[in-house]
Amino acid sequence: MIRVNQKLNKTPYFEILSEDQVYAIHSASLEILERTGMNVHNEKALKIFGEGGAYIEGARVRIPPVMVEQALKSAPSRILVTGRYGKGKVLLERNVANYGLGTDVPNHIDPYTHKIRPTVLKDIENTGKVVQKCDNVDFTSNSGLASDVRPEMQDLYHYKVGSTYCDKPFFTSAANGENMKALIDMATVFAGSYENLRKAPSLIVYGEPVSPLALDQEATEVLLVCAEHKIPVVFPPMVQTGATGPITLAGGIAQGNAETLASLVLHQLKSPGAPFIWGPFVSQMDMKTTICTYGGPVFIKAQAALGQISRFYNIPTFGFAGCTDSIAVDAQCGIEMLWSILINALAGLNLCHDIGYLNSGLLFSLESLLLADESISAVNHFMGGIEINDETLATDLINKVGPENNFLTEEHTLRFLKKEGWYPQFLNRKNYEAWKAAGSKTVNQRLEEKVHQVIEEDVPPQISTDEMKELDKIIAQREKKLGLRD
Amino acid sequence: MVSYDALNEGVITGDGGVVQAEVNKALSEGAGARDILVKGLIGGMSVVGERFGAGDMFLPEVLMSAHAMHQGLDIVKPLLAESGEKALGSVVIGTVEGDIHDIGKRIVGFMLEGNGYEVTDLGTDVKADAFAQAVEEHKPDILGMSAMLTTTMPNMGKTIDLLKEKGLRKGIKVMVGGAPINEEFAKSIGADGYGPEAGSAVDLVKKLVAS
Repeated sequence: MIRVNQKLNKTPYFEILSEDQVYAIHSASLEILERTGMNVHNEKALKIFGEGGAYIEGARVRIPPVMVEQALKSAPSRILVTGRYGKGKVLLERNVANYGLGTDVPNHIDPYTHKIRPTVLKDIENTGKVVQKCDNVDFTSNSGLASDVRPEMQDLYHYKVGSTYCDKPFFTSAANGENMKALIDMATVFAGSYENLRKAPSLIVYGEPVSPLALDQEATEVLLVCAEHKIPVVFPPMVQTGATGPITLAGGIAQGNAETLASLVLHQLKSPGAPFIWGPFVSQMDMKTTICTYGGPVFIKAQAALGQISRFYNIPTFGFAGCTDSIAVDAQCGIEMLWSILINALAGLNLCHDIGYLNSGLLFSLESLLLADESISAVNHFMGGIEINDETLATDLINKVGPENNFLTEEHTLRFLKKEGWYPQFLNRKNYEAWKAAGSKTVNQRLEEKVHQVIEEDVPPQISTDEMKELDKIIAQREKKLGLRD
Repeated sequence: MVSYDALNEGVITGDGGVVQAEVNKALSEGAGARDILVKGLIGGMSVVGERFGAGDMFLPEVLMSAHAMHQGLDIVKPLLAESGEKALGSVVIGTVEGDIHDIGKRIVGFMLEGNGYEVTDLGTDVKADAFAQAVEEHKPDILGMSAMLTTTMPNMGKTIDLLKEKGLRKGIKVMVGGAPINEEFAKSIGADGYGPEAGSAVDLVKKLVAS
């Protein structure tokens, strides 16, 4: 026999907007770009926009739809990023979710005292150690903003210490165009040549327009350097509804999209075909506290919409996942973290970053990172859907076992055990007595123990002595240029 | 000196073929049946128990190991009987009257068998009379009773009372378990031991047999 006319759901399927609603947002963004335009505070960029056909009036750049359409056409729909030595894979393509860390958080929860203090380089090194152990984390980042190095050199030190014990693809910001070039040189130490790095990038760069509707000097410079060297770059504006954009989510998304598309136009004019990751940050400003929310349903709705818009454009997209407004690894953290990780998957976002972020992106802890890893594992299992076929329906087996028997010793049970079940590392599944006998530990205590175990473990660096020397040389050159060293 | 590493490993990986071959090999090398049982078969199962307790093994894998262990035990058992040696101990188990919940008690049985105990499973909905009869017949070291419902829990106490009445209580230890049971309840009905989960039954039986 054969079952025919079958339609199978390989994964759960989710949509928040209709096709017409997606188009309405796109259309509004085109209107914003042509009618209102962007202020561009970078001479090179103004020149590129002008030569590309934009209307320039002082710093104001108005972009006709045809330029947007051309940029969307030349931008690649697929970007593959790998670890420095080709290990690990971040595939940025429609409906492929990759999870990893965010950049530049000023404060850190000390893994031993649990006091909140400024981030230091050692924290970033430890973050790399932990990420290396997280099976569900696809890319790493400095996550923290080191307070023990000079601000103009932070990005280069971050890359060095963040890579020392971790060889996964690295997500980084850059202070300016010159530092961006130095970061490319550092990544080239591993790739061997610019050509190799361009063919198989191990670096993804973060920069931002300034909402509402502006491109500044330095970030734009970074964008142009990335375009020139064909290093994947994400350029999300921070639209906080009611503050840096309209209070309505639709308007916020339309504006954020316009700002991102303007950046894409510039990027593709500079270097057609260079890899660009689309996706604004759109969330609610909390009007009681003025914080920019990294949790809650407004933030979640925006992400759901962005996934659909990116598929309409067929361009890789940015997501915000595994983050929270909570200041501790607590119940709020758990709720918000899992929800955002789940929506990133359901929405089909690609570069899903910021895992482990606390306090709206101002605080990080290694425990929240491990909790995010566990949450991603659970979401990945959920996204696997339910496999329905004769073997999984198991009616033959059910008939064989029959009433008042059990399935424990069946070969079928052993065969599907791992695939059909999900087993946590940190969440409790012991009953009360067994839990008490094992020390009555909460999930926080188990996370803490694991953090201590990983950061205290004596593991070899993932960088050779020679490579480290090369990195130090590039850092020294840059410091010399900035007059920070003789 | 016979090495039991390969036999232990055969038990741990649940490979009955390896277990039987290794038991025969040990016998041909002159090892005693009791030595093979304790160091080889039970030695392997204690590793399995540890790994299961630590969350490094899944229950169906543990049952595979138990099954493999039994394939070895089948060879060793007649030899033990010949030399008049006793096995580790025997247990009669069942779910009490009015209750047809089977799985928890079944897992306890599997775990005990896997660790070398002789288990007689009376099944579910076992009346106090039937328990008493089985105790008389099998003369086990331990009687284990399971209940899943608060309404059937009292039947554990009834069984113990009947054993006393018939003069069968003294020679055996009674252990109880099941979702609604706790230590206090176990004490209140005069049971000797209580296990909060199937995995703890082996340790509990070891303790009760030794005491």
